[in-house]
Amino acid sequence: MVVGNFAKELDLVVIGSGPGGYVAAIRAAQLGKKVAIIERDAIGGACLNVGCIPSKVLIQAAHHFVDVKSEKYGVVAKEVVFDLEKTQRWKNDEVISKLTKGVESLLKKNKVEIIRGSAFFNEPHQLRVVIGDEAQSYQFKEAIIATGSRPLEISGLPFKGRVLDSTGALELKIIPKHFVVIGGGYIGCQMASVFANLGSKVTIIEAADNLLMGFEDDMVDLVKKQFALKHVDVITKAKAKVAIESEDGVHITYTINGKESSVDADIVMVSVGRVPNTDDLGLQIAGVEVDQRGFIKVDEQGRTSQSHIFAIGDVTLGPALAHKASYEAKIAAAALAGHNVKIDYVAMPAVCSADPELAIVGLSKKQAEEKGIEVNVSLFPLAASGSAISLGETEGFVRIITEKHTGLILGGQVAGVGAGAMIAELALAIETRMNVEDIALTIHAHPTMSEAVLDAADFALGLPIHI
Amino acid sequence: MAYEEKPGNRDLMEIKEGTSESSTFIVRLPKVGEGITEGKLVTWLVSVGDAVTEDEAIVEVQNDKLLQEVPSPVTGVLSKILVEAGNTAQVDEAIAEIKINNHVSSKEEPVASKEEVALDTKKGKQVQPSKLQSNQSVVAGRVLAMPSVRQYARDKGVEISDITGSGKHGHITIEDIDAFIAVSVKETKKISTTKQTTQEVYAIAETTDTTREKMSVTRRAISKAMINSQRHASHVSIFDEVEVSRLIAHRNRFKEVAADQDIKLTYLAYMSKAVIAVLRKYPILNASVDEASDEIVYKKYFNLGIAVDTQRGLYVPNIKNADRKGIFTIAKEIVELANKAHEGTLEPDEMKNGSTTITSIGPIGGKWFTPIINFPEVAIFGMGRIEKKPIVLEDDMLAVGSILHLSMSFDHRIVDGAVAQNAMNELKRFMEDPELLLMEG
Repeated sequence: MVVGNFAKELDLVVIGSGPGGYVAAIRAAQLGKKVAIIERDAIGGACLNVGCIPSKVLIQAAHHFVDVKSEKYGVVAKEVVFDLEKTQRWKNDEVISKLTKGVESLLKKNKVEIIRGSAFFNEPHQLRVVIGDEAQSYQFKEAIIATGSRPLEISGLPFKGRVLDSTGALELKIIPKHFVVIGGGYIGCQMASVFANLGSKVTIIEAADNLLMGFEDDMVDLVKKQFALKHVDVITKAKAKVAIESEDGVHITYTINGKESSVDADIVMVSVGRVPNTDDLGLQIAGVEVDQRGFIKVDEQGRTSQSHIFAIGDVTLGPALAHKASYEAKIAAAALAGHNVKIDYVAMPAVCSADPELAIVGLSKKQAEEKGIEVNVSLFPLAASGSAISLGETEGFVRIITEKHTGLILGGQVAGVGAGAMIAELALAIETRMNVEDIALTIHAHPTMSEAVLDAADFALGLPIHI
Repeated sequence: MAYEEKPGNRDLMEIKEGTSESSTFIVRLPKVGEGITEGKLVTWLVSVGDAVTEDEAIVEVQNDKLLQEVPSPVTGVLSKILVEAGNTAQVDEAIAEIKINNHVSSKEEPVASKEEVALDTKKGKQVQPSKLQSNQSVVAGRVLAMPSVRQYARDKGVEISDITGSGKHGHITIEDIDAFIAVSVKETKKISTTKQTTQEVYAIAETTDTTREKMSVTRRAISKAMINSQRHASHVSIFDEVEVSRLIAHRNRFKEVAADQDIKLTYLAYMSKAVIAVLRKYPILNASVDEASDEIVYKKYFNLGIAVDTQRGLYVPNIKNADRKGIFTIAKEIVELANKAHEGTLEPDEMKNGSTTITSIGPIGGKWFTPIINFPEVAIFGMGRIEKKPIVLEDDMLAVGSILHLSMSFDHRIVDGAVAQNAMNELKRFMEDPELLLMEG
């Protein structure tokens, strides 16, 4: 049934229900707005359904497998089998479904109306939402665009058959014999770690000089050391050209300095970046400006060139990270509710759950020096951490970058088990403009990994206990 | 969605850090002339929040009749005005603060607008924050305040980087912000009350059948000086005429002698000499009123102001110690000062400490007018045209005479009408018979 142009009236409409959209919708509702949210796919967006959460499940499951097989903790099993199909069922039925239902109930609790379908603007104040062969127009007063991003496709390797994007790789039910990863960023290295831990032969083909752009070389070296131990081939400065599928595998051709080589695999995953979902929204009709790469231009509150339309998360410039989207969501919602807020942070943490886990926040030594800041670097190795030793995970370190004369904390890098959790303390320290002395004077519970941060702070004060 | 990095990810962090990478430059009143120790800030040409470029005029400073523009020594954003317009500042006194974006090297990168400043800081390159900071609460370009405190400042409309924190390591607290607001509220109140009493602004609606142009600096100065004079002095004008055939004959006799010395002998030179003689006899005309102490200040010097009409507007340089100078010297100095006024090269001193002023419209053709006193002087003499007119001689016979038209305005606060008329009579006497100037002048 096609309803005519009888537009329904909405106040604030949020397009997309990922960690940007659902947070914006809830916050705006809390601040007194009447909110509707439009989702064309599953509630929770890519993060919950095909991104961070499912990845975390596979990473964790693979670690358990490796730990048991290693027998180093005294757990000895006669035959250790990894049933990927069973893991997938647990992931989908117990984890994803629980979380997406949770988000849905949170939306309902906050009286956010959920509208299913794909939205596009047909006027600056009107949207059309299409689901199947039905369509409905909505007149709205304000909108927040939070449609996220999708994996970038490269021309020689279209997503089809044995050529998968991250979504496809996360859904694999059989452990591939040879898993080839094109693009050694967060996703590439995480999925490479998963399948290396599950016993696949893994090859990473990366176009840049090194893996994991954005992380410092000594952190990336730790990951590469683990890859080497697990027979993961890392090929850098290599450009993937084409993938040709056969009955029992896929043949991938790549070039290094113009010289052609190839590799055979049964599965290839392409993870070379993400593109914003801004191309089929009718943004031009809405009068919302985008840049050349399709990112929506926004001001310090997230307001687009149309003052009644905001944009947050992956559709705007900056790292495509869930926590960035959620932060911006709250700012945009508050701005729409009339609060005098603005995007005001210096510390954007980023985590890669490879082996070992890497986490960064704020400035690296190099970045600080490029800004003309004189810094002190204080590194505490996990080999000296009682907690890390007890976990049998001594690879890694905590590093704090401080302003030389004042001890102001500017940045932190953590490599090793629990890095992603430990980085939170350093993010808080940076955002609250803490001095390294403040951390040193804070009691950190024993025996936990967090003590390594305290030790690094003591080191920064020139009074290290454990090294 | 939350998964993989995009190229150039970390730009965003630099933007945020870039916003407070600035330091404050204190603008001090420069010496605007020889022997000048203070200046009155007439008009601020920029407002707080405006971007200023090095060498751009930011404030007009007046010394006596000279108005000068003070250029900005740096490029940045005007963050504070410490001496409001209308007040006097001493040389070297801090008059304003300019926030400098540390990496914007002044000359090469003129800052055109606020937006551009913001954009520039986003680049975040070659920043040397730790070296230029004056506020200890900004370290490595970061304001030492918690996110909630930064939001508090935003809610209160306070630029947090203007505040120096009282906390450990210079941390800014909510109390610091409240204290900062309390002080600035007091300041604004002070300013707004003085504004209420001294400024009432009349605006004219924009219509299609009018055009507009910005008043020049000199024009604004004249406008203000005139209003100022009208506001303080109690103006009364008197008019008279005098037969000057003998003056004309005298001038014709000595014109050639003067010309031999490259001097243009003008009636204005005679008038100058005559006015000085009048002032000597009536010291009240060579005085000023000290309003603060209700005292009449008599001047022992005779610096005679000459109003000069130039393309840029009116200037009033004065002939120093005119009482000690002969008519030829005075004539010469009038030409020199007038030339300087036309060229715009008058020194502040040349317009300071006047006794009284002569303004002449005769060359253009008028007769009488009501000149405005060159405040804080108390009298001004107007010279009109010399015109041939029928006159009645002592023997009741009609004759053709040459009549000079004279006007005089005086400040009735200290000069009464009779005194003024007596002074006018004395002036007429001298102008009628220039030989008297040799005896009494």
